[in-house]
Amino acid sequence: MERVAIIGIGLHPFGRSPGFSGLDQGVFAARKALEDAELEWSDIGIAFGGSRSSGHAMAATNQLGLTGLPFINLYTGCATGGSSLFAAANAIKSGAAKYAMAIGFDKHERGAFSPSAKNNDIPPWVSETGLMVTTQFFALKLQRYMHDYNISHDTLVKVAEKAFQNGSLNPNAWRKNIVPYKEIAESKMINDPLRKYMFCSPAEGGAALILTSETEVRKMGAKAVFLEATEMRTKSYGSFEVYDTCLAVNIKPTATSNAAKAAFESAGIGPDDIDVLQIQDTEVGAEIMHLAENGFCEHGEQENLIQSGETLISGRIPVNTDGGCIANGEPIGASGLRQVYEICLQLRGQAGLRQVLNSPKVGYTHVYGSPGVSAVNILSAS
Amino acid sequence: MDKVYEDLVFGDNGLMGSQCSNCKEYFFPKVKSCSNCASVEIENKNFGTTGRLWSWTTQNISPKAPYFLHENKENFEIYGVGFIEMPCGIKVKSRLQVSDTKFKINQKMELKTSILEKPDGDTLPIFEFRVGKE
Ligand SMILES: [Zn+2]
Repeated sequence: MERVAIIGIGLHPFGRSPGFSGLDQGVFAARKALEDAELEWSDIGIAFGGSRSSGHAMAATNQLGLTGLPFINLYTGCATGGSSLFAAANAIKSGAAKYAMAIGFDKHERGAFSPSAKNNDIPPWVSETGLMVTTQFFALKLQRYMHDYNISHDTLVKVAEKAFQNGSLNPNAWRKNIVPYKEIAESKMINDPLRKYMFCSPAEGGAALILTSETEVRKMGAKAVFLEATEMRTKSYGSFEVYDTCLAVNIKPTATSNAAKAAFESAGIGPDDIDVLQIQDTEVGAEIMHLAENGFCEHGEQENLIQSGETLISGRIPVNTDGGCIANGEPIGASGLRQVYEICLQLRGQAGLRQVLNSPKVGYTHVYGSPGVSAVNILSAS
Repeated sequence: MDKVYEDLVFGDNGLMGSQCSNCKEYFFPKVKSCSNCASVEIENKNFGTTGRLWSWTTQNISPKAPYFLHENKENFEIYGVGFIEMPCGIKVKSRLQVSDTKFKINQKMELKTSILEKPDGDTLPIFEFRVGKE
């Protein structure tokens, strides 16, 4: 089947941008992506966009131009960016448009998100009695995982340490300062075993990607990164996902495992073929557990993998080279697109100080959101 | 008393949930249809009062609204959160009473119900699990 190509990438720096709305940051990213693709907004035939806290993504057309294009707002929790790209890629595959844009932006208030029980078909007492806090889910999943697979507290700290190191090499990151090991290990406990510096925080930012077909790329003679696979899955029965009020007798593979498996099958390659990857690191445990769920190691192997530095930029499987969610923060609409932006930079050899050596050829992205949504992409340089 | 909540607990006799008549999967709290096989033939199921700790964490900072048990952050008291594996195998999410010692996976846990007062004067029965005697 003909591949979908990414011919334009744009990002508004993540973090805090006083004076700029979330939408402004999305428009900035869209203009950057158009410039990168050498296209005009009027060339875009269809767009998919998402934002949680900054209004309807479609309102970006007020600034970009009211060209009358089909523009679809979508929202799938923290996986929103992954879903926008999934939808845009499928629009190109279907022939709905020559050029499609996936765009996302957000500007969140400080502090953890406050999810709505009602919107998730969960009785109100669950949130009223303090059982519907997203960070608890990660801690509960991780606590059991550490018990079952002997993951150490030291390894948790090392994942956060890497995130800040990589962020310090990324001019677009929110947290550009290295945080020393001791400071992470002694930071305030939030949900045992997870401490303050082990979490990502809601933030601000914008990202946009422009897609077209492989045929069109050849005609244009344009530079491109190709999508070898783009897959999205929601939770299936028996998996352990965020907001679950009970877990089944037999726990089944997660939405992440199912999306990853489908992507590798459709791309016809395996995890060993991936040179650089982005893994949803809502907190350090998520990065650790998602590594295995995506197929990059067996459950429990992360302990050695991380202790021996294999996930560093200089390692065998560099993970979250731009600092991931932990150093970039999480503007929900943009976060999944930021991951793909980083992989495109890496595959184009434009990642600056954090460039993975020996010209990476194949990259991977994984995003996870509530209430159990996962989108993954496999991307290649040629 | 909150009627929805009242439904959850059989007093001190056990935690109330559902079982699918078709595929026999368990659910907590009660459901209207089975998310495994989609059957709407659902029966009540009493999961009992004791189980084993399947996983745990602590909530060290106050959740945002609609959490109301501690209206101002100054009164906030750390509480535990865990999944308790009940004798039938379902794991139910619950508040845990924080004890002096750290929680241990697989330790015995007992159901405890109590009445909490909302800031508006209303009351809400809640259930918690606390470490039990082996
Ligand atoms: Zn059933």
